Amino acid sequence: MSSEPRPDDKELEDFLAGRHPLGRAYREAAQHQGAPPELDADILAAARAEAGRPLPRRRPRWMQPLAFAATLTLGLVVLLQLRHQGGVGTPLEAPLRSQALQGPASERPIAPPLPAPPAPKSSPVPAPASRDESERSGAIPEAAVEQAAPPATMRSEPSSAASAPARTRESEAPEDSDARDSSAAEAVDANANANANANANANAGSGSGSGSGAALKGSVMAPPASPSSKAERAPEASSSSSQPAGVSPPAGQAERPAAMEGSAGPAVRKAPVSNPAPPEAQAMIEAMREHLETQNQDAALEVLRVFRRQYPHLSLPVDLQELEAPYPE
Amino acid sequence: MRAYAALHDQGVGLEATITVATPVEHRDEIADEQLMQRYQRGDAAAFETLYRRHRDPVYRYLLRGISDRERAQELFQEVWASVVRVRATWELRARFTTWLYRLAHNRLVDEYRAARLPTDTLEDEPAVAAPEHLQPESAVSGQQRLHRVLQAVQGLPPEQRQAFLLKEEGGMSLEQIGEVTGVGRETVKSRLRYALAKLRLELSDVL
Repeated sequence: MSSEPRPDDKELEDFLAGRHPLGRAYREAAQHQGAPPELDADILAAARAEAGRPLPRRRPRWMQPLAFAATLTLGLVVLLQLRHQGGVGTPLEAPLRSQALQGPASERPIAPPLPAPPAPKSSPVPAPASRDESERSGAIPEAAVEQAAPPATMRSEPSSAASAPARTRESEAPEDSDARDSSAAEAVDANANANANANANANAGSGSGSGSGAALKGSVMAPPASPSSKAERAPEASSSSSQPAGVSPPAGQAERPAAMEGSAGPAVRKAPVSNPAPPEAQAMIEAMREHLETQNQDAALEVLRVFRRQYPHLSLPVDLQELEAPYPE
Repeated sequence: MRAYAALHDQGVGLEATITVATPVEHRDEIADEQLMQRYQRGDAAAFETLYRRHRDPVYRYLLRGISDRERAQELFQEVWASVVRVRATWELRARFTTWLYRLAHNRLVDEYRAARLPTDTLEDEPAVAAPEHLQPESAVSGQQRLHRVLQAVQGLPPEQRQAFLLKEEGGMSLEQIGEVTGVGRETVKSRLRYALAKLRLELSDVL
């Protein structure tokens, strides 16, 4: 294991260092051989021609990953925006969204705890103690509708999403009592405003049904409404607080008016703003019953057509729902 | 070589600076890489300098590689046309010499694959002198000696010949030869050892 290089290694070292006689002999022999001068002209002409052309603008190396990242980010933002607006989101997002749309927590009045106090006996419609109870009874206070998470179907999501801008307008709209032309909505809004301004403990002395905990909650969740939102809420009010006995929505459809807000589209928004006149609706229902009893289905359908035109949100009693089945929408 | 090291110090992305004593060293001259960058910016004179610097070694490398003068000239033009063509996309990643000889080497490999293996001698070269013991005269003239050297190099196997020529014409180190030919350093060493042994044996009477 001597450190002295072997003969071939020494020869290689000499060769690599340019000291080997073979290398010298080769260089001596080859130095006279060169490229023919006639080749130079073509190559140099091509090089000059190429040099005269402007260099194509090259993208920096970091451009491609940056573009990819920007595209990805933009896509995600658009997707999130669509989910936020278009109703691809989960049902659990709805209450959070409605709270977020009503402004910062510091600006919102403090809501009382959810369990509603017992309704006074003078109240025409007893306030349900909980959402389950209200669903069983079929009477849905607006506050409960707002507070309740939408059903876990994709169909319900657009409704909350579509109503979100309206609520934003509500929260931004100043209180305009002159604009309130709907008596039902007026009643709801008046209660809401009164309760919003009153102490949370003062609800026992309000003396009205909507002064209950649920209505108070409604005042928290539903700020003063704009005319458009009142148009949406008018049937709700009629179907909850002042709904006639025969027009009570069937179980399972308790949230239908609120849930239908988005899906019903413009037709719902064009619902009559002025007096919903539940007694008139009741009269129409009675008329339909009478026509059915007298086997005059055509007349009953005609009344139904008028009824539907005026009260698109109201559900028919169970005994009349078969009449609606063939009703042309 | 100093200018090459200066480029490296400026952080232009060269892997390593290899200092090899080469016959093609251009001291106090602009480095090949700088010339190529100037040519990229449209300086045709920089290319001409580059071309004058490397034209003969590259031509000899191709000529010794395929033993066909006309074909060597065609390949020579192709190599330099490639240099001109890639002007816009060339990047300073390795030594210019390494890159240039890789272009030439790839063309030789293509020639070998097309079965145009070197079989004939160069046309205008004089006849190869016979070994010393077969010659009537004991003294071999200087001209014959040079031709014998060239012929002996020509007779090496292609891999050994390329390693030898890349060292002699390109002035490359073992690593650079391996980079051009796509083999490891030890393989290059082995090829050079075999080549030297063969040449020594072949030219023992003239060296």
